[in-house]
Amino acid sequence: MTSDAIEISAVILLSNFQSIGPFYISDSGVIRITPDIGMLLAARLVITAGIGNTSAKTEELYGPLPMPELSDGDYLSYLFSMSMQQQPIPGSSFSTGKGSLIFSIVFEDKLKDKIYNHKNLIESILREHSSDLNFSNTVTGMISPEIKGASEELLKMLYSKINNAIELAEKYRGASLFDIGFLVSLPDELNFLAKKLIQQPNGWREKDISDKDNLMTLLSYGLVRKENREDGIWFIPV
Amino acid sequence: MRALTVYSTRGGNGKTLTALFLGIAAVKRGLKTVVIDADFEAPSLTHLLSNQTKELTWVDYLENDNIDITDLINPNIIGNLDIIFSPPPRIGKNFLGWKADNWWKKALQKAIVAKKELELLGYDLVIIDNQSGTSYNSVNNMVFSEISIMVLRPSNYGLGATESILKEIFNTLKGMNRRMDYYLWNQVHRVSDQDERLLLDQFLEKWDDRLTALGLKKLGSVEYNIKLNLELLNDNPDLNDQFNLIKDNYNNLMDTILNF
Repeated sequence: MTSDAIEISAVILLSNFQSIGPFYISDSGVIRITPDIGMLLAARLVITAGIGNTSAKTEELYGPLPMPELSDGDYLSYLFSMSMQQQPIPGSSFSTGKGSLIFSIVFEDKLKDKIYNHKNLIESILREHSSDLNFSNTVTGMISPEIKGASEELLKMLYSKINNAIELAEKYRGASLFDIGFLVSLPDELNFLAKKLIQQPNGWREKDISDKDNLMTLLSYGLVRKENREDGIWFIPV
Repeated sequence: MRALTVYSTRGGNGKTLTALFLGIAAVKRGLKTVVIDADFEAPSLTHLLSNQTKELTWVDYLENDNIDITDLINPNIIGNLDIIFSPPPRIGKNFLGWKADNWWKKALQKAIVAKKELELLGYDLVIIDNQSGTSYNSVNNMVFSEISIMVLRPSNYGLGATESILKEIFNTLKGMNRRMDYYLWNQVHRVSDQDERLLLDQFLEKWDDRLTALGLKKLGSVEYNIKLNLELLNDNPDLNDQFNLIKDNYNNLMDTILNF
């Protein structure tokens, strides 16, 4: 496993989705937003953000929101964050997107059959950073150098973080938290939670684990199993 | 319920007798207690106690999913003290084969489940007679227990070589659960000569500092008892009688443990 397991591309959409085309950063060449997809996307984002049904002047949406319209067997796409402003006619397709950022995670050939193994992991990392980008000072219709710069920085950071996490997930495949030598080799934040989890081999109720982020990471690494039981969701150390 | 493991970094420091005497001290004050022989390389309880009634052992439980833990417990072996035995090591599956595949991972899972089951059976105290040295087994038993007692005899060659390994063990256990790790000086010579006394005191003081720095707490010390050691030369020593020789010592240790 090397650090080039994935590529990430980002698309910034500004203003009215229908009229102003996407601005690509580090375009992997995979995403091609055709006018049809653009329309579909715009409608979906407007509905998702609830612009048409609210009197609020602005709506912020923090992802990751999976975008099946822009995903296939080789890559995943997520709406990362969005800021929209309501226009005088609620529900109108002229509602203005001040800005939205979509990430596409492109898997290299060697990982394509494992895309879905890593979905939870990728989504938890995107979720952790989804409010990092601030569109509040964006002027409708313009891509400011600040937004462009911040998007590029974020992209680099997420690229590195996701690649490292996938690398670890592959490395940990088949491992067990009950192998104490392995457990103590985990990074501190995971090691701490893992030491708690093994104290109940039959599992923990979701509500009894406060450190949800690291729990999700252990889940994506296959070191914790999720079960739906009669009394709710349980997490079982593997 | 409390779970404690008695261990040492090498054999012959007195783990097994410490475990048994703590067990006797516990049942004499009314605590429902079981001692588990978890020293798979050199299980000693079968040699000290001849009244084993159950064929199934701790090893059988750890490697099988369909064994009820009550089928392992030998009741009232010394007074009210219950015992779970381990089998002598056998070449093949039960010896080197233990270390194959996922044996140790499953063993730890099963042991922690057993702990819950023992609690449900009403036990107040589980004492593990651990394997000496560092191994998957000894560390698993430390993870099982929230209290550990490292039994030490005062000698430079025994302690110097193990200081770094102790550091690793306690780094591993750090944060594992709310725990207390003690050390116990065992078989400390009674010295009357002033110079010899000074030498011993200085040695103990030096190691008290080093062990405390590793995060261990001193549980106490047990003096070498000639009569006790001579009694152990008998084939079937009466451990209740022997306990009476040193009961004050062990009752004090038990007080400290129960205060945790």
